[in-house]
Amino acid sequence: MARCARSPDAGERRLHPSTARTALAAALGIGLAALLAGEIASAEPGGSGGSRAPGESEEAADPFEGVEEVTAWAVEAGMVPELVGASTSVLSMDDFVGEDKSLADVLSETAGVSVRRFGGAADPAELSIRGATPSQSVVTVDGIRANSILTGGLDLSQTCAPLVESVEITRGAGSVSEGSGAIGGTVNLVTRAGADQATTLGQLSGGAFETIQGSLLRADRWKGLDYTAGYCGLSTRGDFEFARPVIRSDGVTTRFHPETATRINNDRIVHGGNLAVGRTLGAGQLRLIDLASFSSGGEPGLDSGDGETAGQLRRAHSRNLSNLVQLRWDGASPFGDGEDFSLAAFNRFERARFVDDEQPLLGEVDLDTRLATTGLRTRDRLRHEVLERSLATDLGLDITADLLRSNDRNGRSRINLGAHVGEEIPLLPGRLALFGAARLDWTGDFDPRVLPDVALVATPATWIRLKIQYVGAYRAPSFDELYHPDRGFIRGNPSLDPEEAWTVQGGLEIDLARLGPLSALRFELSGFHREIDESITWILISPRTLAPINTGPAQTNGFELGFSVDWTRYVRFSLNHTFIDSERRDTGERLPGQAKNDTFVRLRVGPEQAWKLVGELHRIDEIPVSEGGSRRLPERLVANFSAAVNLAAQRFVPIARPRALWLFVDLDNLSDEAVRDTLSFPQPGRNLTAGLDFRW
Amino acid sequence: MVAAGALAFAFALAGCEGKGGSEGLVVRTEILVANCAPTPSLSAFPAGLAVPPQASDVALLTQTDPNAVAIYDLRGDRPRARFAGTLGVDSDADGSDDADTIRSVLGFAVYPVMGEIQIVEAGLALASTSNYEQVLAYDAATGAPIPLTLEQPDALPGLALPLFPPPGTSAQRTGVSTLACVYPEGAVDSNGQAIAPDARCDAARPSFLTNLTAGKAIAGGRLFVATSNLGRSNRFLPGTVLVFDWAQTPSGITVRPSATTPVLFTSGFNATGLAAFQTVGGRELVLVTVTGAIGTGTGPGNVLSEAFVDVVDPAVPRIVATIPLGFAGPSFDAPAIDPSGRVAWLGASSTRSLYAIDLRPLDDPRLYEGDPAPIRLDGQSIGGLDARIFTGDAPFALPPRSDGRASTGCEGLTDVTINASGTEVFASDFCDGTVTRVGLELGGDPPFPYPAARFPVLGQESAFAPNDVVGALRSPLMLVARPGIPGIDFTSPDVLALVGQPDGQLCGIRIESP
Repeated sequence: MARCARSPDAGERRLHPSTARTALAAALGIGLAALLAGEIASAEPGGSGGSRAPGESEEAADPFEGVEEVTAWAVEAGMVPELVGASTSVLSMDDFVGEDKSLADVLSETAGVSVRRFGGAADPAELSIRGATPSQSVVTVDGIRANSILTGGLDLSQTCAPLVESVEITRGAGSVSEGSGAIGGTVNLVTRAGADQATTLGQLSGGAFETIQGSLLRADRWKGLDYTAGYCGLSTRGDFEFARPVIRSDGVTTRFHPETATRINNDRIVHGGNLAVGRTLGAGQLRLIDLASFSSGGEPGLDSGDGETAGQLRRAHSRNLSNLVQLRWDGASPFGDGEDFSLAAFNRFERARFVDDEQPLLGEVDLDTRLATTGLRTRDRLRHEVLERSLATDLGLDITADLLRSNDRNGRSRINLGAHVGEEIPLLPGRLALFGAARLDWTGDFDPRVLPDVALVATPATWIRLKIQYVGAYRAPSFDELYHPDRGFIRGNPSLDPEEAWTVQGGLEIDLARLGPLSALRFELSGFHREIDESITWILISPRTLAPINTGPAQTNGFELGFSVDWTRYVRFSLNHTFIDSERRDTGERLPGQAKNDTFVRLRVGPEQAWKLVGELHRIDEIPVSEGGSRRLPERLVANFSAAVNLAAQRFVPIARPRALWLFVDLDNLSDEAVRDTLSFPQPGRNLTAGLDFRW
Repeated sequence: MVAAGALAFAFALAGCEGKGGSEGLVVRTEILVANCAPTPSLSAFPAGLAVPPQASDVALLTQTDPNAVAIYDLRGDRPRARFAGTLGVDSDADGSDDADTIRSVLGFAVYPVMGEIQIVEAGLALASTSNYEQVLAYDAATGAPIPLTLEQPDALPGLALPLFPPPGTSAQRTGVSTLACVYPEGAVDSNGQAIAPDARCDAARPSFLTNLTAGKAIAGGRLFVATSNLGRSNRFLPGTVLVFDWAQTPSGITVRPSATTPVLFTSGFNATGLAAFQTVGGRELVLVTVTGAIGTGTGPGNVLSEAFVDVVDPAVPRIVATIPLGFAGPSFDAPAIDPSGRVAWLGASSTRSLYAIDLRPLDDPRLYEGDPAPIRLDGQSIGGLDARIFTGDAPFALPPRSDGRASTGCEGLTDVTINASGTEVFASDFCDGTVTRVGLELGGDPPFPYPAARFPVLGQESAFAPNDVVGALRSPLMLVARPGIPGIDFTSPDVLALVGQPDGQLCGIRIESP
């Protein structure tokens, strides 16, 4: 007897042959047929694919009596995320439990994002989106900008991963919301705050180079207050061994002596903490959110020169303290009928100290720099009806004051203002929408800029989205670029102009809940073209003096591909690929620091909540390390492996059962590759970490 | 934490800390410009360049990161690297790690940083290193180190060489240590502060250790080595020229500090380039570029004190004359001297200028009589001798780049070389990337000094991009004209340029070549 029945474990459906053929065609065409016919578009997640009439019973008379049974794959539509226009990814840090992932690890494995690391654990790491510089990408923490006003970038090593709940990455856009700096895109770190039930999270691990880290976080309610308080700490000796560069040029090879060295003066401790307290106030929620970090340790500097120390600084030391606090009210809009109003007052403070009493010519160096940004940020969404269409208008206003105090230069300050308005116009409700937005942004003494953002988003079905977007962006020079004190060998340039840029991008997203034996299939392809002019680059204006200048136009083209799929609940495969090709118009040469291809492949085996084995391969093309590109770091393929078991999910565990108790082992850089993102900063070879991760 | 620490220890024991690449980290360079070759170095700026005085198909290049001497084959349009010998950690072949050797003197460890190279005699190249101050000897054809026998007299007046073999002994090495304690009397630094005693030399009298070993010259059986002597906080200590007796025999070369005059103090700060030459009258002399105190920036404001060209009579040895250049801030290289010995040219460190001196007054015998202080050849000394052609007050200004492009924030850094026939000066500018040709009309016997009209601009080539064209080949640092007649002695490019950005490159340029 032929049947049309579901096989839940295998994720298969058995269909009538004619229906099966339709479904198979749709699947092989990755939904293209469905897009045209609109049949699958109406399928709901978990639905039957239309093969059975409502109320039809398997026990009813079988009309296919005698017909041969055929097994075929079927498609169950998924739901593309509600993010529109931009190319956006949201990563949950809980997906990486038991894998010893840092924030830099997670970001570097994402399509369109690369991380430039200057060493190992707790060493500086900078973010690059689509090949843009760190200062051309805005990083926010709970919506508040965290980039340094001194350098424009952000050191990712200063933020503990256990205190972060999720990471929202927006590629190619974000300038309307964030203003200056969002040329490559934006990253928003959402710290852990609040929980449905009293929760305690903790982690403790130890590993190579005497690296120990731990964290403890508690979220609960107390007398009408929601609170979350967390701490994380890391201590490392950082004394990894590394291979010195071997230079092959025109058939001649030169080497440093000795050919390997040990990173010295690289010990560091990091302490981080977050606190979030919230309570109901009026028609909304009032919250105080604070994220603080402190780090102290040696600064070995460059790997250069001969000898055992490889030219590293033996006595340089730095201490950094930063704190970002915001008081925020979210609730019903006082101007509209939505629930999307927010008003935040915030302050970001940073103090950086650098001391070295062994600088060859300068003698003792003792730099003490304090930075502060104080501001207000408000957002609202107004909903209204026009011509029987439901429209939404986004409004935003930002006011900030930046302040710099340092013992090596005159104090500086500047006021920044930004206001934006955006409109969502449903051309075909639920299917085609036009988004238009513009921001008026004014940074310090620079002329105000208008930043446009226009997007057309087609959602022919719930599981597929097509989008195209144009975004204008700019970046005002940082305090260092403008006012770095003239030390002879380095100086700022007060006559710099802001960088100007625009990006046009398009993409396709597909989200299928089920495809034959596969499930949770997600595919995303985005392409972009970015033009930038007046790009700010530090160059040697004389053999002895480094200074920033505005350079000519450059363009970057590229695409990102993201794919992930489950096969049963035991196997999950994902692949992220980024292609970037850039060109400086004057010379036709590529911009430095960008690999052309960056591919990350990850395979997870095991029921995720009980145990998992994770294997990863990360391949990165050659990285040009000089303007003009004649010097290149080698391509590399780095393999990582981790194994983790959740004892709480094992029946034999004879202890009080937590919600989760993971024991894990993580082995990075299995084949012990020589890894560098920049010429003079080595990264560790093979290293192992073990620890536990728990949740009560 | 204890448990985690124990885990960390256990894993370390288990060998889970890798070495970060057993095959090394191979940094590859790529040929991007047809007439240029990247240097096998991580550093942008090569340290020095020299070609043998006879027509030859090789050039020697010095570099840092790693320290090396590289030999280039000049037979094609593009120089090709043939060999590169790195210094290693025992650069002078004394059997000890350099860091260990110098720690006993400085109190901390440093390794050499390769500096300029000069071919001082047929087949002999000398390269300077700083930090570990010395002059290394190389075979100019192969780049192989040449062993030297170092000796130290029982006593030296006004000088101590702590890394030389002990007094009365000798040792074989490949480098001549130029780390010296000198004892200037009544001297001040470039900030006007009196020189204080240096306990590493003598805690009881003004003294300092020489540093930044620069130019070299061999003349009159002596080796002269300039040391720039930069103090902390960018202040200059008195410039010095160390004097060694240089005895070359078929069995080898023996070097010993001059027993009578082991050190000369220059007329100003920052003694850098040295060049030996013969005057028209056949007198062997050494010219010393004394730049004066210079900042680390660019532009006229970068020049902090007066510059000179000192003239050393190697036979005595002493500084017999000095030619004041005013606030010129010449570049650090040795003066470029025309083959007939009539004029010498210098580049500028901070402006788009050239400077020149007339060498003919140096044949005046009155300069060499007695043992007076150096005579200033500025028209106000004996017989009104004036050797100044172009100075800080009246420089030779290079014409602007023909396409009108200049470089933001870069006000000039020039270098000069003179062609083998002595008819033209070629001058490069780091900032705008040009190479300018200047005629040398040295005929007849005009009065001292030569009038400026004798040096017309003949043309200019935009050989490289202006310094602010990021990504383009630019920033020429040093020009060297090849010996020989272009088209006859060689058919490849006749001028070599060391280029600093975007990478260190050695380029061949055709100026007179067909």
